Amino acid sequence: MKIVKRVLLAVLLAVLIVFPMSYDNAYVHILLSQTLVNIVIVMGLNFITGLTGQMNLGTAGIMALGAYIAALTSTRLGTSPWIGFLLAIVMGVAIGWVLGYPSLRLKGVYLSLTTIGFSEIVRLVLTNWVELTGGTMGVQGVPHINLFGYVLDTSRKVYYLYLVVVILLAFTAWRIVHSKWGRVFKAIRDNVEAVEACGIDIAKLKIQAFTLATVFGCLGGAMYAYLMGYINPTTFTTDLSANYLIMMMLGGIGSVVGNILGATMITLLPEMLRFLGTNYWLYFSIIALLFAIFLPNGLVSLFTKENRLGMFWMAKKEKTGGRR
Amino acid sequence: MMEPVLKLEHVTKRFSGLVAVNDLSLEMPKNCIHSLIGPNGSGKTTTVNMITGVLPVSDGTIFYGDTQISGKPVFQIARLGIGRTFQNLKLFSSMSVLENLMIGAHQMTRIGLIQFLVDLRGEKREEKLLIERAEEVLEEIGMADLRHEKVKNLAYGKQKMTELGRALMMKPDLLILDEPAAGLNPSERREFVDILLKTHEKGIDLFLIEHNMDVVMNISTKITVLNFGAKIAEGNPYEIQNNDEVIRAYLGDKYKPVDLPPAVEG
Repeated sequence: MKIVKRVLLAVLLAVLIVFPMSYDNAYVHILLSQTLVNIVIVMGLNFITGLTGQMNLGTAGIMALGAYIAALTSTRLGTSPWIGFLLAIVMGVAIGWVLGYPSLRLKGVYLSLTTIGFSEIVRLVLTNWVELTGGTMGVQGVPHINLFGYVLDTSRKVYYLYLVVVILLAFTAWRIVHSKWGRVFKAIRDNVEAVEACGIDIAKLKIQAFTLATVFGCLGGAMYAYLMGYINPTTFTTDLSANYLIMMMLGGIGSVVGNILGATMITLLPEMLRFLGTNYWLYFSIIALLFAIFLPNGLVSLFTKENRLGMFWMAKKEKTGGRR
Repeated sequence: MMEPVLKLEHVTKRFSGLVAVNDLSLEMPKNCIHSLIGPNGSGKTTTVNMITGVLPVSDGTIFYGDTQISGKPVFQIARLGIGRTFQNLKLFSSMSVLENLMIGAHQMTRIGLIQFLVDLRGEKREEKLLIERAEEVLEEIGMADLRHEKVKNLAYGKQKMTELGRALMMKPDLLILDEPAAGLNPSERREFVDILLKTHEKGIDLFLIEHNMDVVMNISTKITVLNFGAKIAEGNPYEIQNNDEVIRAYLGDKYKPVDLPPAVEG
C-alpha cells in the first residue's frame, strides 16, 4: 500500500511539473498558481475550523491583510518580495492573537459573526484609506519575485516556485495534523471540558490554531498579490471566505489531502463548467448538494477504507492476498 | 496531625436565588477513599465542579494540600494532580481509545510548536513515550485489545473505562470520580471497583460521588452525606449506615449492605 501511495504521489508530482511546461498558456498557468494559493489558505483554515471546530468566516480579511502588507511594502518602500512574504507571516501571527482572543469567549454563530465583522472591517478600511491603499483602485504594479537574481516574470515561473512552497507547507500541515497538536485540536472540537480536565490550557491552543490559520492565510494573500501583480479590496469579500469554507468541506474536513482536493476542485470547476454560462451556480449548487448527501466527509473520504472505493480496494487486496 | 489532601472551608454555591451548596466544610485525609453521597439535587456534582474549578465558589475556600485552588482555572487545578471523570461521559468520540488516553498526558509533553516545526525527530520520541505510557494504562484497565477502536463504537462500560484510563494517564495524586458505577452491570461494576482499588493501592487518593451504596459501603474509608446542599453526616461506612438522619434522608430503613458480586473473567 505504501509503495502504491508513493508511486501515485510521484506520478502526480510528475504531472504537476510536466503539464505547465507542455501547455504554453499563461491563463492556465495563472489558474494553476491560483489553485496553489487557495490550497495554502484552505490548509490554514483547516487548523482552526476543520480540526479545532472554531467557525472562522473571516478568511478573506486575513488573506487581504497578507496581500496588502506584501504589496504595499514592495510598491511603496521598494523592498524585496521576500520581505513582503516575511511581513505577511508576521502579520499572520499578529492577527492570530487578535482573532484568537474572541474565540476564547465566543463560539458557534457568535464567533462566525465576529470573524465576518473582522473581515468586513478590514475590507472597509482597505477601501476607504485611499492614501495608503489606493482605495478601490487597489495597489498596482506589485513587483515580480526575484529568486537569487532570477526574476520570476511569467506566471509559469511563479507556478513552479509556488509548487515548491505548497509542497513544503503541505508537508508541514500534514505533520501538524498527525502530531499531538492535530490530536489535541480535534479533542477541543470534540469536548472542551474534557480537554481542560486533562490539564490542557485551551486558550493557548485555540490561539495557536488561529495563528496557524492566519499565518497560512496571510502567506496565501501575499502569494496572491505577487502572482496577480495587482490587488483591490473587492476581491476580499465574505463570498470569498465562504468559498474557502466550501473548499474545505467538499475536500474533507480535517484532512490535508482533502484540503488539496477541495481547493483544486473548487478553483478549477468554474473553468471546466464555463460553457454553462450564467447557469453555473445552479449546477454548482446541485453538485454541492449531492456531495452533502453522498459524501458528507468530503472527496477525501472516497479514499478511506470505510467507503466504496476503499472497500473495493480492500476487497481487491484480500482477493490477491495482499500481493501486488 | 497529617495535613488533609483536600479541604473545603465553608464553601457555598449560589445560582441566583438557589443555594446549591450551603456552607460545606470537609476534609479528605491522605490514603483515603472518600465518598460523597446524598439524594439527587443535594449538591454533590456542584461540589465536585467547584473543587475542579468548573464552577467558581460563591463563598468559602478550597485547598488541595496547602495550595488554595478555589479561583484557579480548571487546567491549572488539573495540573496540580487532580484527575477526574464525569457523570455524563465526556470523551473524544471521533478518536480511538489510544488517542483518548494520549490526550490525558498531553500536558506532560514538552516540545513546543516552533521546536516541532524545525525538529523532525523530537516529537516522534515524545510520541513514542506517550504511546508506551498509554499501553501501560490500557493493560491496567484491561482494554489493550481495544486500543485502536473508536470510542463511539464501544459499549458504555468500556467508554467509562476509557474515561478512567484518560484520567490515569495524567498520573494524578487525587482522582475524582462522578458516579463511576452508574449504568454498569454488576460484573462491570465489580471490574471497575477492582481497578479503582488497585489504583488506590498505588497511592492515588479517590474522591467519589456514587449512588450505588454497595460500592460506597464496600470501598469507602470516609463518607460525607449531603442533603439540600448541606452536610448532614460524616463518618466511616458503619457510622453512616447507622445514622438516623442519613437513613431518613437518603438510605431508607430497608438498606442492608451486601458484598459486590465477583467480576466475570474474560
